[in-house]
Amino acid sequence: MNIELILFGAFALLTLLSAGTVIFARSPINSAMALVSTFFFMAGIYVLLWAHTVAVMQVLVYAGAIMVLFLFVIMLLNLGESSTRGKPTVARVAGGAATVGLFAVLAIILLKLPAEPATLSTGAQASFGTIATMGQVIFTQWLFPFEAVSLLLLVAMVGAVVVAKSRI
Amino acid sequence: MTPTPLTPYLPLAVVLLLAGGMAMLIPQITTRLGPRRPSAIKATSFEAGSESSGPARQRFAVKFYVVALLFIVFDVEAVFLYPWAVNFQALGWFGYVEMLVFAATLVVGLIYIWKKGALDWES
Amino acid sequence: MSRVLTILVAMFTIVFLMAGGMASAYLVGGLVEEHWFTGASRLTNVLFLVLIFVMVIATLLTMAERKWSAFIQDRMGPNRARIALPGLKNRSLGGLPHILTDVLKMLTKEDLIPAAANRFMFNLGPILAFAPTFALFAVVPAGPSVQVFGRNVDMVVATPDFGALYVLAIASLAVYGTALAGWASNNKFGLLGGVRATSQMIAYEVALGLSLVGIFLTFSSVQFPAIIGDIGNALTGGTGQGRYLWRTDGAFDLGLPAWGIFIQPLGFLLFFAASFAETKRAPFDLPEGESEIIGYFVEYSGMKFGLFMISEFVEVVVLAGVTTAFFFGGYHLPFGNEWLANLPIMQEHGWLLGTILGTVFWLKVLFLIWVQLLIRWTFPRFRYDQIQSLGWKILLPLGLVNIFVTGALVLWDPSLRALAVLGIAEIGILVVLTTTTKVPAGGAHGAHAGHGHDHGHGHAHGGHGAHDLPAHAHGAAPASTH
Repeated sequence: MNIELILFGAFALLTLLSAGTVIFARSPINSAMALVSTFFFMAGIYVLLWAHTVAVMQVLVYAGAIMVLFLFVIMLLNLGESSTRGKPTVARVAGGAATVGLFAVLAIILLKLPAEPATLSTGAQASFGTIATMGQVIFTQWLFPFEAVSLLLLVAMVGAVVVAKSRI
Repeated sequence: MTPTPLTPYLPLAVVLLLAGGMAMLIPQITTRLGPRRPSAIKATSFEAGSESSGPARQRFAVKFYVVALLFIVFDVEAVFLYPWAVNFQALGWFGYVEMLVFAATLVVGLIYIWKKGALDWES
Repeated sequence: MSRVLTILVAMFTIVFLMAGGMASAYLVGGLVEEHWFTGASRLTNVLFLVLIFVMVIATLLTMAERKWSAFIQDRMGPNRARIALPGLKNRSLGGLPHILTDVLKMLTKEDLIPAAANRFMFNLGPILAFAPTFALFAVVPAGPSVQVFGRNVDMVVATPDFGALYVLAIASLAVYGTALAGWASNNKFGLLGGVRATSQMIAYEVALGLSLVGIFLTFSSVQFPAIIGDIGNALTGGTGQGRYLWRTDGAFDLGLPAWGIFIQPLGFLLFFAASFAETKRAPFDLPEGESEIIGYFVEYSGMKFGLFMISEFVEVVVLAGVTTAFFFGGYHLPFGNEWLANLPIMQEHGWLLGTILGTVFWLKVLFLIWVQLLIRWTFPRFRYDQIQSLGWKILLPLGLVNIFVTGALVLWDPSLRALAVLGIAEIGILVVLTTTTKVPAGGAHGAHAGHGHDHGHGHAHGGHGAHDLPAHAHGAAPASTH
């Protein structure tokens, strides 16, 4: 029993618990805070996978930026207790089906993985997952997707203004 | 103890646990030491003497959301800037132009938002 | 005369205590490295750096702030608490006993939770505000890595690969504490403060992240040890901020060190302004404007309020530490650095070098804290629209311009000398503008602050900031509610 496995178990359990709270909490603000802790524990799992950069980005972008917007919306719209026990609508059925489909895809991929677990100390090189290595890959090999991201972000900015236009 | 790839994170984990532990324990001292004399007046919201009317949680201007979205966009940009900065001298002028194009696209968005008045808080 | 003597004795005591702290940190670190396991000194660094240095300075700062505000406003400041011991009965001791009375008072207050509040989130607020700020200092090195008892001792808690990004990531989590505190109190003032705090913090976090990219690309690293650099000798030269751009030949090194302030003065101004806004202190104290909305912590009492307060002071210390590491050469001396490090006695007793340079680091931190106190008590508060304009319309574009100008100069001249020439020219222009520009009577005073690391620089930029704002602008409150 090595320490990495124990840590993985702990992080995985906490991630699952937080994720469960996101779904089952009645108050949307509790759900949002549970999602923040889900992201935080997932960052821990990324560290165990030796993906340092992804781990810190997880905290910086997801927990530190995107969830702030979520919290903002929930706090300021003054949403009450959720009414998840309502009757099924088209959106709910479609969402449920999409979730089951995604779960199935992930399950198939997981089952195809080799059964032998790779350990950190032997499997990965020292430079794997570092910010320098990641930069080399993004700015040479994945140049086009990187530039495309800027267009996506531009659309997001313009979209925000268009949606809120009448109130600004 | 033999060093493993996770050894650098051990002190970091200790600090984070210590921070969480202290933050949770310190307020408990007040709860234990302080007096407990609840009253209906004390439990009301403090509004500088005047009686509170209506719910406190009200809707806020949509500008706050636009600004929050702008924050996410530029936070994501900054996230791309860090790996770029680390490899900056290796990438040379090619990388410089690459990031210039990326940033210019976002600056177009910033100018659009600016001209549309989403950054003016006085209107 | 006796006043001068008191000040000198006090200053000497402070330097002596800090040197003692650093010496014990190095020696204990060497001992545990030898007798426990490799890397154990990192754990004692948690004790010495985070728990002792940062927390003690933050605690003393609560009183230093009140004393400095009194000094600036021509008052005496707190001096009533006395210790009933022979010889101390009639001495105010610079207000130090007030710290003890404040803590005792906070600990024994009634723990009030308003009936309308969301209890769980109300209790979570101060925890989420304090924990991230407390953990921030973990990646900042306070002294060089030296050999103690034949073992390597690093004066830093952790050196993860993402280095300085840890500070940005963890600092961004502190938003939740203020936002939740304001929302959960279910109080109009509290919610207003929480919304203002959140909106202000996210506006300045962008500028904070962008202002550091210039430093990162100059040193091609995001890690503190690489940015601070090592001390070399006359032949090899140092790395990072430990090297000289120009230096005299000879045994005693004299020259212009490659400190961030010289090669990135604009980056420094942006970083300092943005991080000042992150600490939510005047002139950026909109979330807790005492005279209008009290703050997001309006419903908190006792030590829960204390956590909000102490986390603000911890932020001040951490901000000074991070600024020192990025822009003031970390623990390096401005001159004589290589001469000192290559003395035979320093080579032989590594802890001695560590103690001296570590004390240098903490002295720089104290200086920057003092600058922050001066700004805190000399500048008036911004209006809310000015806060947002400054963040989005001035700091963000300037940050982007700074990145690409710096990048072009670094590629053009990798020795960084071109960058330093530009940087010194920028500093010179600021000084000239400061000494020649007169503040127009009745000008928008609120727009001055936050730009400069001292009064003068603020003026140089202040006129610029005021131009972007309509002259008929209203107060802050109407802008933020609806």
